[in-house]
Amino acid sequence: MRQKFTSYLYYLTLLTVCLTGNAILAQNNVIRGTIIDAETKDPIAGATVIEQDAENRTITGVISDFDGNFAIKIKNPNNNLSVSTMGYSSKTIPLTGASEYTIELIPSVSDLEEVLITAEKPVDNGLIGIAERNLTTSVVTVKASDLENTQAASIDEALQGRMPGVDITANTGDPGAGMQIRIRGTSSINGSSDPLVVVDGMPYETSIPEDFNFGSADEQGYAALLNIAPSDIESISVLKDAAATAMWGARAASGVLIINTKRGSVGAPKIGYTFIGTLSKLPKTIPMLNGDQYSMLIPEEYMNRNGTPLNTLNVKEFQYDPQQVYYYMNYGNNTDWVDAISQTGLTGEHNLSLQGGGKKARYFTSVGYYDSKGVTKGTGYQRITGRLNLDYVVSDRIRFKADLAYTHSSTDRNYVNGTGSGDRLRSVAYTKMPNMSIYEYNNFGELTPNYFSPAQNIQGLYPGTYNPVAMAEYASNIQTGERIVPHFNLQVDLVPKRLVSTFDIQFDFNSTKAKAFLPQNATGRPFTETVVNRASDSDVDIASITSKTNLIYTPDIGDKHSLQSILSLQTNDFIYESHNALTSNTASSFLTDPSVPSRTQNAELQLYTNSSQSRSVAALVNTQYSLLDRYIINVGLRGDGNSKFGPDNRYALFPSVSTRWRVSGEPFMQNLDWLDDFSFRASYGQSGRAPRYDYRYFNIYGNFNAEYLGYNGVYPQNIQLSNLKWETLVGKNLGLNLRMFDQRVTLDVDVYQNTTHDLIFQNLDLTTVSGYNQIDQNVGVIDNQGWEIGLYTTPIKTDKWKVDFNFNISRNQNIIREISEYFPSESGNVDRNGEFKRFLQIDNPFGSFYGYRFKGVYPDLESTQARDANGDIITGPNGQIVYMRFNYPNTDYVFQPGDAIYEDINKDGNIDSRDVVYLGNSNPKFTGGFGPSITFNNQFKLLAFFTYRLDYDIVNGTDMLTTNMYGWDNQSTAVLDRWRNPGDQTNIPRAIYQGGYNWLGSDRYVEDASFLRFRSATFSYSLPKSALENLRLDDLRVYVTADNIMTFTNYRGQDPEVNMRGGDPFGIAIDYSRTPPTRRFTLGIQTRF
Amino acid sequence: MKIFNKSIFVIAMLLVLSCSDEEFDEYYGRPEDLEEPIYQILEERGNFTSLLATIDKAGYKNILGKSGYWTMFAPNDEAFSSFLQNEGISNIENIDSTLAGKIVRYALVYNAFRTERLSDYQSDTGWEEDLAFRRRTAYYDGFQEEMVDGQQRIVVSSNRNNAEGADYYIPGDNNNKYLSYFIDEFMQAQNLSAYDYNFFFPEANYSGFNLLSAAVQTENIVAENGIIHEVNKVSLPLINLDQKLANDEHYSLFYTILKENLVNYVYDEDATTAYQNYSRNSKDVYVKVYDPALAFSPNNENFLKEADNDGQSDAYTIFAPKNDVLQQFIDEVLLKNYSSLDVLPKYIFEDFYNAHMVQNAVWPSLLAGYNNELNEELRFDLSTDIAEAKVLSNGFFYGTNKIQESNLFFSVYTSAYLDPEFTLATRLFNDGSGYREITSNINNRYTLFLPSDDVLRNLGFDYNINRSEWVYTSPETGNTVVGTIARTRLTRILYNGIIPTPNGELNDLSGSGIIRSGDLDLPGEYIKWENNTVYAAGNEVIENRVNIIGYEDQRNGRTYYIDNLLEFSEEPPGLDIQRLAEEPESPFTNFYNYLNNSSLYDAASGNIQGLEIGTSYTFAIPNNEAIIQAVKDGELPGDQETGEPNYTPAGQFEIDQVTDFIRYHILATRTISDDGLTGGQIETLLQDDLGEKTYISILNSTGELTFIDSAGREANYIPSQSNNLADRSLIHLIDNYLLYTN
Repeated sequence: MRQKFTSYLYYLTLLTVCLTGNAILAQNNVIRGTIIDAETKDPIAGATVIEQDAENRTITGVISDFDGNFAIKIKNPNNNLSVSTMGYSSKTIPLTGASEYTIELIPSVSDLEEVLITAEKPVDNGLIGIAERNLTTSVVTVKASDLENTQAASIDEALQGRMPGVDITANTGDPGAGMQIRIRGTSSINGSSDPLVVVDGMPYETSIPEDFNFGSADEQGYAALLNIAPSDIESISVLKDAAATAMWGARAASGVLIINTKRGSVGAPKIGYTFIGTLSKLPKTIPMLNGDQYSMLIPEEYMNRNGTPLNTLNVKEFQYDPQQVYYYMNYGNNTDWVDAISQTGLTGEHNLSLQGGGKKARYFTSVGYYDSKGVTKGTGYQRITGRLNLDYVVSDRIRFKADLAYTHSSTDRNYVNGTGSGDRLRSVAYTKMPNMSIYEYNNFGELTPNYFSPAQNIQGLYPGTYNPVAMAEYASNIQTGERIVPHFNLQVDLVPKRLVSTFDIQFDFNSTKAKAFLPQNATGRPFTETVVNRASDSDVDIASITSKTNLIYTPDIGDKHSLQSILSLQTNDFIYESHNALTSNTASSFLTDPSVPSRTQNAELQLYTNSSQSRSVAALVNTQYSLLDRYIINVGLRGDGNSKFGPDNRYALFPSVSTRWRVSGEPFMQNLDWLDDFSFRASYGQSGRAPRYDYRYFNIYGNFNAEYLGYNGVYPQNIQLSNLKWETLVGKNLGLNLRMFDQRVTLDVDVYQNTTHDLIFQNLDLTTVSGYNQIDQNVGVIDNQGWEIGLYTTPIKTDKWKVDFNFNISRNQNIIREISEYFPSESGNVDRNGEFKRFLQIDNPFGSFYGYRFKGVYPDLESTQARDANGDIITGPNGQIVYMRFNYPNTDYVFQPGDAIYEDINKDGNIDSRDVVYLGNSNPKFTGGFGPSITFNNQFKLLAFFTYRLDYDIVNGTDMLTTNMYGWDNQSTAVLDRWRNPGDQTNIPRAIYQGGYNWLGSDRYVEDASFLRFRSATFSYSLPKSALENLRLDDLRVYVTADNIMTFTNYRGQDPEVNMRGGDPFGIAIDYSRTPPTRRFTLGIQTRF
Repeated sequence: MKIFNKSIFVIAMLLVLSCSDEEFDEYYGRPEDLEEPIYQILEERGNFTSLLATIDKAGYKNILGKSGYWTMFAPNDEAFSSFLQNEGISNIENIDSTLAGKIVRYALVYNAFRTERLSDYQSDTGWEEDLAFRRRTAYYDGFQEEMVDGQQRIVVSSNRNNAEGADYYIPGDNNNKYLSYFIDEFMQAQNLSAYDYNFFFPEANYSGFNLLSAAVQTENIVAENGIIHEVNKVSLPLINLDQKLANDEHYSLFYTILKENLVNYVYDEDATTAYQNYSRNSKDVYVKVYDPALAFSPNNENFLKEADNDGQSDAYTIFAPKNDVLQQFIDEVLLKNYSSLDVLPKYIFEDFYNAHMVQNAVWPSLLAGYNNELNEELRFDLSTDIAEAKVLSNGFFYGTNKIQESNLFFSVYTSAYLDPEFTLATRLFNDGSGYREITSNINNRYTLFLPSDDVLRNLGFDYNINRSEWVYTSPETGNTVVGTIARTRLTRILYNGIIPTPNGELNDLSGSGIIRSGDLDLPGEYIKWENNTVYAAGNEVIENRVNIIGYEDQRNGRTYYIDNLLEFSEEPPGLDIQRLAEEPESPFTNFYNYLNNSSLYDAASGNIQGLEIGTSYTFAIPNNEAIIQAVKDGELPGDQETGEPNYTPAGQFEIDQVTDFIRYHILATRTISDDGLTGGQIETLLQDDLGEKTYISILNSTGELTFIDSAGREANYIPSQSNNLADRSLIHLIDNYLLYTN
């Protein structure tokens, strides 16, 4: 296959060269001349004089001398002569056969003036450009100018909440951390639901290889991959419906994000400079107990368990004995650990760009420097970006582009912020015993400069707990990335305006290195353990080569018809190599590299390498036909081939069809002047998704770690998946577009259903009779369905005032239609604390959860008596009073005064699974955003943006964990209200260490998390023209932005913006965050000269 | 569009209802009804001004004002004013920080307890109701200066009981003192009453909730960091048993002997480090360690520490005799045979003090239910013998007018135990033989035949101190055996000298008789006396007698001092039968002839097949007439007409007849005499066709002994020819033969 494909490429290249290489006749003919200023008649030195052929191709060229004279040896007397220089308008004159010319150039002042061009928004789906009004599919575009005021470090952050049906949420607040982008929900269980990113027409790799998670997080890694400087971006489009994404085929099933970077334009060089400075602060977090309050809680909690108190010999942390100097000083404090690991985040970004060009060559180049310090100590992100976008017009029929983008990034993270567990440092800081000191007091009670990192105390040991400040300072976890993406594009108009061919090739070299080191003084553990001086070095190198060859045919078939067809051939070759070394116990905390002699033999340490390669090819035929500008149909067929499948299923065809009926074009609506456009759209499309991992259709042999008689055994690791098929997404979309009042009101409405067939499930449990425990299979059907409305209005538009108001709203539901019999049908144990019951219900949306009804706290013994439906006390056979109990006869816990009351639904005096009721659903009914933008005099501009989610229930997991009083973890100040003495009336049950049933999944933790967030506000001021001229500037704009200003919600937790884990039928939205999104204030300066 | 309007409305509503901050503050704010911490509560209540001043002085304001989890027994202002008066302190401000610390820390108990929980014991498995009357306080003595061997030293108490192989000092355990209280729930559950309380606190009123001599006036005052119980008296930290003994001159003799003989001061590295860190002083710290043999260490504030908090439910008790009664005891008993206390073996002190120590809190009303460490009942009369009773920090203290009249000092055992001439016998009695327990049992009467060390050594017995083993060198052969073999030999010999004589049977040895040695559960061998001499089977073999050279009467019998040993026989009993049969006109002859000719018997050695040396047997041997009758009855081979026995039958049946006959007349496992001690079904050497044991019934009373076979046939012993001694056996002559029938 590979050879075949490569040879195609050769043929194609050859063809292109042949078509463009015209034979040229040589002639000897010298022409002389002088170039003078048309007004002053002074000679112009240094002007460029070139001979151009009919297609404006440069044949030869010279430069005028000090006196404005030039002499050029022309090849063809029928060609033109073109003269251009700085500060003058270019001039082209036909050669008349004369040998002497005097050419007058007119000074060009008007070049500096703003040129307003009104045109329809061009929409580029990365393959063919179709005017937005003719689109048959659901596409949203945001222009960079709409985003330029937010200080987002990455595109995804900037896009948050601005497009209907595009759900972007932050994973953590740390700099450089990634965001999760979901377009129309999660359509796959195990496959990647991240959208395909297309930059300047070429797919941009963002997928995370299987093993890219040693010591670093995959989501974090994802962020680093999407590291295009936002200021380089011209526009972003999102392809949402399957007919649109079908053009991009495999990997596009989760939607396509199309990013176009800025390019050069004809004009004098413009230097642009942008500065953005941001201050991030941690807003008010959940107040936790201080050391004193904690010292009251823990002994009480422990004794409440069964009466046994804390052992005063072994547990000195709560003795508060001033004579025990060491313990009293080290454990008699009020430490705010969260504060101790927090800092004010500072971000500075500088971006310098140069843009300009002439008719022949245009350039856009930029360098950017981004430096950010996170609100958590030990986190930061630095990035240097460089970009050069060159356009060269060889002739009217031949153009090429050469783009070069380079990014260097460095992410400082805390060592413990590894895969999955999120911000461990912060969660440890929250739960850390607050009576402990940050720095150690010695035996004499003197404060030392050493961090207090005991090997162990009552709370446990690393990795359960540690001194988070020591961890932030001493342990390191740095991920550096180097990525260079050269992209070459050649466009040849085979038949001018009718048949255009483009050829793209893009190389992408992406190298990431993650180095981490865990020194002894961060964990406090003895030197013999492998968590001491643990060094790791991971290196990932990805090289991918992507090519794309398009033939676009646009025949002229009359005014009533229009036709545009494309044939596209695409290839991708992806090579991935990684190595990882993880060793421990280097001789000193200063020896941080695994290459120094250190321990490797323990099971958790490793030396590991991996390499894999995958390829894909695709051919696409797509035709858009329009009749009378009213009836538009687009038909496409894409064939995909992917090396991740076995030979039988390697190739697949994905058709798409979409139509648009412009009702407003019909004669009966012609007289509605206010109506610009009114169209209906319908589309159907398929796209395939390949499994995430390579080589699944092979039976892979692994060898045992142990040896026998000097030999290692080998065994087959997996079932050979030769029948694994493409996961196919079938999307249906109905939409309408309405443009009214001279585009001042725009409404887009879409209803969609995306059905994923042959869902790939990973690691389904299998009966071990087969010899294997688990298998990956194509089983199940999942639906994502919903609707989206986008409304863009300009209610006021006068000379001085312009007010825009945009609004979007959407709803998405995730429903399982079919699933494997191996998949469990329910999840969650209602006889365990902290769990909610979930059922797998075919044809019902995900996200419902069940539990008990919380009714407060038993104030005294009398209240724990069991009562029947009539309210009478239940008595036993001997007349003895029966007390309320839990899960009789299995658990048979008798409720005590101070325990949580759960509603006894069936009035049998026993709280068990029969008392479990429906509590809520985590699917938001509506999500979206809105905001006005007000412009005055083109100088002052106010932008505000709100996001919201309505009507969804989330489990306040933070509340659960900070009020359960179940372990040694520090708790929130809400537990000050806990039940302590008989008769206490409260809603917080008593503290019981590792006992009781006070935090069963109940409606106590379920809250309606509807919220409205004032996401950002920007006020900008542009200097008036007069001032600009004095300053010799083209443009100067200053703005201030505030992010995450305020959240209006009744939700008691920190951040109501919680996601349901996508694609998991048992996923519900649980909020474990203890920190609300950081509040940021940004100052930005943009200038151009 | 309707939905759209609706959501606009909802959004608007949300904007209006932006009350999340208020709700947040209410949820996370400090509840209005949450009590203040202890210090502030005390301030609020107004009648604790003196206590508050004391807390300030003690440096506990910061702790009690905000942190920890405590029970505080808070003395009110009246309590303080009488306290100050008693102490002669004019003003609360004049109280020094040390005293203030003592008051505050001893009033503080770790963890908060409401009254209903104070009486419950916090075992390792949870609450055990109504078992507790003590709690550990925040107070401990810590490092003290003390004169040790004429030097001023830093001393710390041991915080565990000393025992062989165990740690007497656990670093980090501060030996916190306990506080005792008396709550109805506990008292009733333990069958205690005001009597018990007033026994210790005769001046105080039992109120149902007393803290030592104080009464609790207001219970269960709730504070954020604990519970306060208001009391009407200030309690200073109680001293412990060790401190009581050391500081009370009434018991100085008791303490001096204890300290000189059973206390060591041992340097401790951990304690030294802790002390030096705390005091910034370079002195070494010594742990005051009590002898591991003692029931407990009187300076250990913790109880047994089998469970962390076992001190909540129990404590120690010491009965300390006052100097005069102790001096009298020393003079009359301890030093009866010894020249001075210095030369007394250490075990005597250990025993003496253990006799006065109880590993429990001895409640007066339940005194009879407790035993001292020697497992003896407490021999005190509460109404007359107790001079003083105190509740101390680690136990109860009883000052007595009487010593505990321990078995060890008033029994036949004492004759050996308290006499330096009998160290070998004492050693054997003590070293696990169990003889000490037998002979010192004051409730049973014994006669003890006690050989002095000289007698034993002359006969080859000795104890090698260096090798910790017994040695025996046979005087006849000169062969030496050591260790267990030697010890076993001596054990057996000395057991022959321990005779239970409930009625003083051996007070007159002028006549003659036979009597069983040992105790009832583990019978020894029979010995005989005659004309003021005694002898055992072995003495018969070597043809000597044991002479009495003196005696001493004790409370449970008489000790005879002897010049020789009651030896056991090392001959097989067969030889004894042979000897009996070989006497002229012996009635044993016929039986012996059968035996001698049977395959069971090896005439050269005297061994009878199936018999083991050193095992108890009883031989019931039919006399010659009975044998002839057996022949006539066809039960033995011979002429049935005449009864002439055929001692050498040829037929297998007849051979078997003989062996079965012999075996049925040997009773296994018991030695039976006509003393009425052993009766019932006794197994014989014979086994039936199925391999089952066969039995003979014994009717036994003084002067009567009848054997009944399985067919119910009776045979009576013939007294004049019976009770012949052999190796752990007796040989009797009977007037009928016994026959086993299926």
